[in-house]
Amino acid sequence: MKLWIVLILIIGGVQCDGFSDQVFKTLNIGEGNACYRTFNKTHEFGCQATKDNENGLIVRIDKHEDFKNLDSCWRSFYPPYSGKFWAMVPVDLIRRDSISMLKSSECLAGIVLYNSNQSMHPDEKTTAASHDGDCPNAASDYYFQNDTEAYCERKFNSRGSITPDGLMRMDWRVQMIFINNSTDLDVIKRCYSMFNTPREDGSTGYPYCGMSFRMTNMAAGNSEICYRRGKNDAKLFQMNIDSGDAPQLCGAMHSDNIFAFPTPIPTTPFNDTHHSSKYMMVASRMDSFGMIPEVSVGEVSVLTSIISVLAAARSMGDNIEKWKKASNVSNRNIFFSFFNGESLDYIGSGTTAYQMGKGMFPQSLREDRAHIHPVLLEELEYVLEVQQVGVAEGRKYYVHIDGDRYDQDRTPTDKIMDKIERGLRSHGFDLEKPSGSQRKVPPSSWHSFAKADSKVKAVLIAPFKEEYDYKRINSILDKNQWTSDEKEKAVQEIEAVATSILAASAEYVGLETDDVVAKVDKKLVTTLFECLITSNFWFDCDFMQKLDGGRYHKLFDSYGFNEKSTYISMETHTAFPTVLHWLTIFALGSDKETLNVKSEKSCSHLGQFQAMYTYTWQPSPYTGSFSCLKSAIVKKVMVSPAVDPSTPEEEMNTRYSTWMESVYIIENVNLYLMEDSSFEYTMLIISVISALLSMIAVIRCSEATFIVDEGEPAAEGGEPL
Amino acid sequence: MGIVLTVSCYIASFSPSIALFYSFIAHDPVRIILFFLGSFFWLVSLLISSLAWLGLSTVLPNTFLISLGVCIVAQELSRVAYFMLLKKAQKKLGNFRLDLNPPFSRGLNKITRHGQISVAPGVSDLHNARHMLALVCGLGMGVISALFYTMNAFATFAGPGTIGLPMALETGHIDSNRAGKYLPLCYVLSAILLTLFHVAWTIMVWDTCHKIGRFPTAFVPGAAAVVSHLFVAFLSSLNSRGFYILVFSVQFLVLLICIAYCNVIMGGTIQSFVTAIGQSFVDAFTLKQIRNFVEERKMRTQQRQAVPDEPMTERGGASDEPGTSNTVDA
Repeated sequence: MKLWIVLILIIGGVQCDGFSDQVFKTLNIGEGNACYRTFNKTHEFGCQATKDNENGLIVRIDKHEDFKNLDSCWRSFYPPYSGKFWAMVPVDLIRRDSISMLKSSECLAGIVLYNSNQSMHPDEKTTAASHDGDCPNAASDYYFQNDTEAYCERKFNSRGSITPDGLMRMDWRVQMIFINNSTDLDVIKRCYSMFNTPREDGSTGYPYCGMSFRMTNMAAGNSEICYRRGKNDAKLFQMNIDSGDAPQLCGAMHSDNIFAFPTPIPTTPFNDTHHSSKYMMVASRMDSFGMIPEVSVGEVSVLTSIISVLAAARSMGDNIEKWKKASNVSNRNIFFSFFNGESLDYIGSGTTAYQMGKGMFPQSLREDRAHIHPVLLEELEYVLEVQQVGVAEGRKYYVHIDGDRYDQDRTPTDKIMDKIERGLRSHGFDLEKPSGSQRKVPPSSWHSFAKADSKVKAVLIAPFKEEYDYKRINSILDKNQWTSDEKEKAVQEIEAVATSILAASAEYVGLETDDVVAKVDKKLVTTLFECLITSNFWFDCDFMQKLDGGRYHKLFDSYGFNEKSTYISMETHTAFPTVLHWLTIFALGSDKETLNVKSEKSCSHLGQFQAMYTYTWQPSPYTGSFSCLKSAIVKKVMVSPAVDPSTPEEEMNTRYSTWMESVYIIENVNLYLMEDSSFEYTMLIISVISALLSMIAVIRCSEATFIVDEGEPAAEGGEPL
Repeated sequence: MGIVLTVSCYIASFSPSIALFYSFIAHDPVRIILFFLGSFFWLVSLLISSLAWLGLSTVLPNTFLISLGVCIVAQELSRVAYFMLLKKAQKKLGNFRLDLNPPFSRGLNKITRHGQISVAPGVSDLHNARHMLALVCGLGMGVISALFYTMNAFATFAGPGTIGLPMALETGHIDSNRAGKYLPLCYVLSAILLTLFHVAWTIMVWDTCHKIGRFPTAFVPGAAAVVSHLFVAFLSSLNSRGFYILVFSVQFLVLLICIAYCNVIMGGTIQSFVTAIGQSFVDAFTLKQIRNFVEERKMRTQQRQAVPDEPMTERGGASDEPGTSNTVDA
């Protein structure tokens, strides 16, 4: 018995690779590195594998002139080959004049995108490379939905957009992958150079280097179809009997939003409806996207603005007693909002506005205990947002407001704008105040609140006037190569904007703006710039490594977890919300009241049954030593009401974002040698000849050919062996 | 590459096997069992070879030649083991009596009686059938070995790529001796040769097993089988160096020699073998088989019209009369 068990274990331990290791060079393509399907209420976008776009010969497009080969399908280079091609294209060659050729080519199976190694030419910074459309979030625009403006009337991104609708909003016939791993990229390049590079005389011949890749989406159509098919009653026959679960086809894009309340929200009994506080929301967005949605670093789309808000929050946290005192006197509060999904029709802010309207923000009401007074829409006076900090041409900023709402009560807004101007000027920047045609708010989170309430005012600080100067908003290329001068200027801008945020906030709560209140830690700004922008990954710098303190672990084989990505996705599988949450706690958390707490367990116990405060066991990014930080910070997953099953009354309401993402199955990239397929027919003829010869040969034999009487008695008696 | 290529390869590779199977095995349930038992014995030998290779590769740096030798010896030993098993089945099992209820068998060889219709419908006469059994069992071994040799490659041919890229990327150049687009043809020829070789080797080894201890030269066929097996395997290893045409020519010549030798074992002569081959070509050109086939069909049709057929079971059924019983006592 033991022998059998040993034998079975030995046999079970044998692993076979089959034949594929001699045929294919396999490259692992992690989740998020390939283009997949996304949906809004009316359309599907992205890529889908079909029988036609799975396999192809690898070709390279290294310079703009190479795009002309798309028309001729490289026939002059590979005359014997009649199939499709996988084109290797550096991301910086995806431009206005090339995208239509890529889109219309009949001979492309797919596109392999990669980052060019060459340093960015100064001219390239001025080339349109935004993967967003002419009018970001045009369908969710307050003015459009309010019928005061036509669809996409103000084209803020027309200078930067590669296509009018944006590359993410394209339904591609080809597949697309992004390869960031230099080893994998070298393998593909090597395969190309060995087999597909034309010889000196321009000729090529079999074998060629081919590539196959398959990314299968589970959903199709649009969000509405996907949402309907995703319901359990529509999937009755696909349901797993054991678990009761039905396979997921698609999911609403959602992720964590972070709300930080430096000054406490009043705690009130459940039935108290008295509204006494007013709020200014300092907002910034957390998300961006690219042509392959998840491949998006979001340096200027997201990070520079977030650093300025964080710097302001840190400064506020350092002087929190003054701010609290002023808030108590004036009944005006500041809170910080980092919204996720803003680039996709305002998922975060739309949901927040919805929850504020329902009295569910920042928490749902609970009858069994005292709760924090909900922040209601009518209590929200201002949405102060900063955008695209760090790329100003010259040293000029603009403030954007809504003219109609401004006209209702000009004085407080004028005072706020004055303070912003003073804050910027203190760092050598100018501010141009709105006038005339400029009295409409550019795409920003305010639009979500404006649609829900007619009194919420906007104050948007940005380096553009009527069109974006930065041409890489929401792009794979939103990743600058900063010179030391540019970096210094960007840090100054961030500092100036942070100061103006503080000044505006102080003005709002009635706090005298002095050198202490409005002082921004420049060292912190520089550090955050290095850590969040210059570093290759969130936790590469010492500051972030200390802040991490061993808490972050890379999970799964996901782009979002392993690379810097600020895309929202249908699952919360990017590290950025966690990073930002920790930074916000660092900025506003305090251990003054918890100095005696010496363990994580004791710290977490303090947070139980708390309505307002959270207690987080977190290290200092300066010393690395852990302490229990008390803060009023909420990290909240928000799903757009239009696609949230718990809000059926808002189902597919176009007032809210309807962006969804397909569940997909991603396979590895396989490189292989292609042989001339004409030999197939030769083999068919050979097989027929083989069959005929076999018949002719065997038909000559009979039983008697092999049954021979050798005169053996036993064989005669029926024992042949 | 594509599915047409894969199907073509399978047809070309297994046409001789299918023709032999159809002509000599398909109609007989016992032969079908023996055919698959032959496959099983070859699989067991493969398992033993794999375990030996696994063990050796943990000890020795380069185990190719040793593993190859072990593999060939294991295959030949499995042939001998199969012979011994059949011998045991022939001797130890008893008579087959249809007069008992349920019918009782006492021997593989006793299912039939010489010159009479089988008591088991469809089972052919086993008298003097040792070479036929060797053919059946050897074909089973040959088919499964050819299948194992080719199926991964043929599956690959159905896909978009062919063999060679990982190695080329590693070494920096493509192997100039690789078969390229003719690789499927190489696999087909190898599969045909492998199947027929196994038939020939089984006839040879079993002849040794049958005669061992009775004739001083009984070891010669077995030794010839082992030597030719080693030689053919060695030749195959040269394929990777690009001597395809030479290798296949020599292997084909060795196969012809083996078949001729089997013909001698079965009572023929080299002269009769050469004559038969020559006659085969003449018959092929004059379409003799087709003419025979047509005439045979005509005759059968005429016979059927003359005598109505009766069920075989009635003719071969049990009888109370001792002299007319199909049961053979040991």
